[in-house]
Amino acid sequence: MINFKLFLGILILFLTFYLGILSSAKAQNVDIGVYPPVMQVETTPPANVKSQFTLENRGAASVTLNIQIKPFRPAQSNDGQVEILQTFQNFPDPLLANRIQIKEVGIPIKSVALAPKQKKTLDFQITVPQNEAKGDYYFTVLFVSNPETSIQSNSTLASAGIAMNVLMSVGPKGKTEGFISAFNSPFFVDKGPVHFNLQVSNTGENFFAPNGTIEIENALGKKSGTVKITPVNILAESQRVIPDTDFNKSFLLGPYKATVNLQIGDGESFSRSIYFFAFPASYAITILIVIGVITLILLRVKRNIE
Amino acid sequence: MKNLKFPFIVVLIWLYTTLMLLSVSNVWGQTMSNDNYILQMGNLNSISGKPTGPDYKLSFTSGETGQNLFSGPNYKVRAGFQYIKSIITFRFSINSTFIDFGIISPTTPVTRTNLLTISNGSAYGYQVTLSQNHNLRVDSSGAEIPPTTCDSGNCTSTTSDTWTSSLTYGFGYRCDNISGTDCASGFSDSSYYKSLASSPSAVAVMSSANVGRNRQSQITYKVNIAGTQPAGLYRNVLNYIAIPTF
Repeated sequence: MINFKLFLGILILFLTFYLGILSSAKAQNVDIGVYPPVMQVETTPPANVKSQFTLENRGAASVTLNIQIKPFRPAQSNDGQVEILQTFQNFPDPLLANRIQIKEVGIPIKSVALAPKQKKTLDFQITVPQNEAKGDYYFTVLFVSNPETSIQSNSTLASAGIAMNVLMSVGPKGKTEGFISAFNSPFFVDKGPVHFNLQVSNTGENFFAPNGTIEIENALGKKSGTVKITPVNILAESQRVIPDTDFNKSFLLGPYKATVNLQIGDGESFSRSIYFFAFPASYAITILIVIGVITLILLRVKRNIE
Repeated sequence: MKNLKFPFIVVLIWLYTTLMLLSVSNVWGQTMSNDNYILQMGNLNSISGKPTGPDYKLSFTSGETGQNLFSGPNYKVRAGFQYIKSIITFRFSINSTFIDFGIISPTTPVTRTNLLTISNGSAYGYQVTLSQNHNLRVDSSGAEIPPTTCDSGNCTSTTSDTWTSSLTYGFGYRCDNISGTDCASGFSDSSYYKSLASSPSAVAVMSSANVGRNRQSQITYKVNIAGTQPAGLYRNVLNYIAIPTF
């Protein structure tokens, strides 16, 4: 009889622990991913643009993501961040948004359900009619989770959303136009890496990605290194700071010349040069201290000998 | 006693085994399912040939389910960045979507936290924006807990300030870097808070101009009420959106 009560007690304890594991799912996490983070579309009407992307649920619970489409413009920080807009009125054709579809197995959807650890490949489709207004369209496709609403507590619920940006040029494309709006570096450096500030402006009607390099030469005209320019997208009538432009050489000595050679799309090429001077002051000070200490030691030894 | 001993041990072993199996929750791999079946595979790696159709052709990155170039009559689409050849998912997670303040007593601030994690291996930068659908509100009566204005009365959704007084009421948040330095500015002092922007406005709580993996920030939510706050269940929804750079 006593053993049976003990058995029952332990059973209840295990069941309570077991149910405790299940209830912790209420404080669930959301872990979602999208690929690609950006799509670049070039089209000439009429066209039925089709591509694909993947959505992934890496969390331990199922998630349903609502699909929203929002226009954006480049943020004033000029670093590729977006500023979401609330209306499509600035689009060359504000009604284009109605012709964007996300499809699952060929069926247009407004939301997508993902089981735990599930990855889905979805279709992205835009119908571009013959008379579509020419120009660039920038929008983001948002996938936003629905928080549970049956909670009976003073609480805040968090919904998680993830975005895929779309850059679309409806052609025929205009002439690619732009210029180097800024190219500079510190004039004096102690040692590398040397950071180059490079900003490119797009004065044309369509986005482009610049290509090119920064060539660094020493005082003798010998090449010291090359920095490849990352071909990031620069939207129409905007400018962007090019990332990852550090010259990663640690020991530098003397005057240097840095020349940026830039090509924008199939258009013009640009070139600009700057100069900077490098002197490894920290190394020199260290060497001087060492020489000074050695000299002092030698003088002392000499005096002792005398 | 002897008769109960054996089944007792069997039940204990069964319960232990069940609990251990339940705690092993991470099964990595591709999962496809519908109402009729669930397939789980270590890796979907088989492709054969290039599918083509009357309007389009696809090119595959070997062994993956993503593609990077699509073309057809009058269009071409590049998926992803041209400077990144491999497929790197843009990923965002929130460790807890339910922030339970429990019972809120007047002049006794309650704080809760959750973690935001971003991996943007292929994008030179990202931002995570935050907005609330409305103030903490009792749906039935419309009573609200207002956004905090901090001790000085000056903090907003974009400007932080100190909030330490138990006689300062409202709802606000702060951001602390766990890995990386991606929290928005204004939170260098641990007593600084901002209020939340209401939709459709949103503010960036995390951002970076660099490529990065598992960049993590902790968001602390704080709520305090006056003795005159009407009773009820106060709730709202916070919308976090992770957006890569273009």
